[in-house]
Amino acid sequence: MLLMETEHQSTIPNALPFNSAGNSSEDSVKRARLLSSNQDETQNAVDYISQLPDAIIVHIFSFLTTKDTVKTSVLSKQWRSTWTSSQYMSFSLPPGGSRKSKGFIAFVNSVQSRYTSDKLKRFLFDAPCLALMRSSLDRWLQFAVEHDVEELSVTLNYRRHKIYALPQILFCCKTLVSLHISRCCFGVCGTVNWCSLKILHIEHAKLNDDGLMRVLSGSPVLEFLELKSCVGIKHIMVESKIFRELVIDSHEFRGQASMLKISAPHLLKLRLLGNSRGGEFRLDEVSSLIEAELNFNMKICALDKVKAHADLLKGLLKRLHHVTKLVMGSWCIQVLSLMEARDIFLPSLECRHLILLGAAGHEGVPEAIAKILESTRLLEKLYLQTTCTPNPKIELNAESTGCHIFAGEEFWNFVKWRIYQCLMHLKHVEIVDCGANPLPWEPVISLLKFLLQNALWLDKIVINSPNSKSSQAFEPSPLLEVARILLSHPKCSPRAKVIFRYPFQGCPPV
Amino acid sequence: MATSRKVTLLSSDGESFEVEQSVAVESITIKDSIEEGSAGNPIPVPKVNSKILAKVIEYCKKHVESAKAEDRVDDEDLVAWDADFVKVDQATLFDLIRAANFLNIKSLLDLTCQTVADMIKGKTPEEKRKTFTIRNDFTPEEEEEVRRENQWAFE
Repeated sequence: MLLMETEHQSTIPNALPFNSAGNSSEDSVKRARLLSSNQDETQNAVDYISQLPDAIIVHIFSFLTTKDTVKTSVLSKQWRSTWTSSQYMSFSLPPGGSRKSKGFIAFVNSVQSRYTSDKLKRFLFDAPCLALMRSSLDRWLQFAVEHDVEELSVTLNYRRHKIYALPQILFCCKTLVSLHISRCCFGVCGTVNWCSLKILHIEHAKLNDDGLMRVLSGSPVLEFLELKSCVGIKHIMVESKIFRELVIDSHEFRGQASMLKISAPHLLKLRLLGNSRGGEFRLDEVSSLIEAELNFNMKICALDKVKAHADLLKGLLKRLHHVTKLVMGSWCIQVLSLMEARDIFLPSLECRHLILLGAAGHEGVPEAIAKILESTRLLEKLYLQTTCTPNPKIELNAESTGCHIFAGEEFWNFVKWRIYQCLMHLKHVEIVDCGANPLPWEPVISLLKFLLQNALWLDKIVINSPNSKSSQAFEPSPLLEVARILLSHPKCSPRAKVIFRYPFQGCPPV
Repeated sequence: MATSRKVTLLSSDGESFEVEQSVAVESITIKDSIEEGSAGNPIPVPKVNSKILAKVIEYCKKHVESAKAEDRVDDEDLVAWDADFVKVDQATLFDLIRAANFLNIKSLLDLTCQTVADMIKGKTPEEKRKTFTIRNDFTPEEEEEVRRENQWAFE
């Protein structure tokens, strides 16, 4: 993407700052030295930015909202209309800003009427959808489509108003590459012609199977689809060889025994996320998957909750047995630990890289790990990652928990005979601690000691605390203790190393 | 790739830099000229002096290395490294922008332009003029007119 270098036509401003108070330039240089060396505050001698070619300035504008871009109009005569050639439009009105809506509408109209280019690369719109906004929004979207827009995003929020229906002209926009729609009525009336569309996000929409079918058949080069908080879809079927990634987030199931069937024989990556209730995910045809993420929470109402949850997970894993990279969230971990307590079998998995999220501080994690390790004979990499959000728990009746409370090492010795074979290929274990809460090390240490002692081909154990965002003072002493324990533990793999990674902020001397 | 091929880049002020080919081809401009066979050896890089070329090479090396290493955790390290990389004075920053544009290195161009955009965001026009040393050549009436034209942006 090489931008054309055409120099500015207008005069280049003077090299030295022209201070209107009449101070000599010597004083300004002195002032510059007194200021901090932060590039923001240093008084430079030269106006570098105005000397940049237009194309680069417009590229800088692509990282700003339209409001910020338009503000540059007042900097100097040269900058007065530079912004009008920016091919990126981004308008947003915060939710409480309905009072400003008339001014906002006038602003958008003004920006569009002064637009000088034939082409629009990006149009982002995020505002409350008020009655007086609707017809204007129709016009603005038409403007975008007429200017061959490539990236379009419409996010609306409502209080009491009727939902906004997208204009039909949008469904025939042949230049669209990326589309993101949130809270609009996705009423597909005629055919859809999105021949360039690669990325599609639909949020909070009511869409039935027929409508989705029309969207998919009108998007032959679609690579990525995300459906978030959508309701009405029961079957997603994509035959296209180009379709790579599908994300389903907080799917809404309606009606009894509701199910979402997915069949996409060429799909490479599947992610099931968010909070759902009373439904089932069924994977019909996903034989090309290489990566699957099961990071959703499912509330199931059933007489035997444990069996219902276990059946759902077993059904999914059976279809995902060939997937090399599996990511599992806290719901899966809880179900696995329940399955371990009840001795429910898992299908055998060919997974080589397993990531468990929300893992370390969770109850039942050792049981869950034991359960999954029993079925993953080819496992090479195991990652345990704590997340910063609290994990919702599966509600169960008191009797059905039946989890035994094992002391760390006893537990691992007890399950050793079952999972020993699965450690044959294990090479890399990593613990990632996001740092929001102090990591309870006990269960993790027992696991790591067990692995050190029994994983014949273990290459390294990495403990990672990327605490850069933590507001608490970072205390390395628990880590040092962990290091001491692990490094003095006998290991059966001669090559095994234990590596600690944490941001170095003046660690006290060891 | 079995062998690590090296190429030599020649800055506008005559200094040579020997780099792995895999690093040099982060620049689409250089990649194209190598593939077309029109590169010559050393490859001249006009418009980019040795100080800036050294920095560009440092950036490309780091990014090529990170791509080879394991996925996941290194992402955060790379973001932090990038943030440090652009903590330079304005002259250097804008030279990097021009170099990234000329050499067609998208990620470096995006990084440097994003940095400048962050310097523009959230500042009043007066602060922006001060940061970038832009001379205000509007008369007060003209300035008022511009503000009125784009009223909502200034609210």
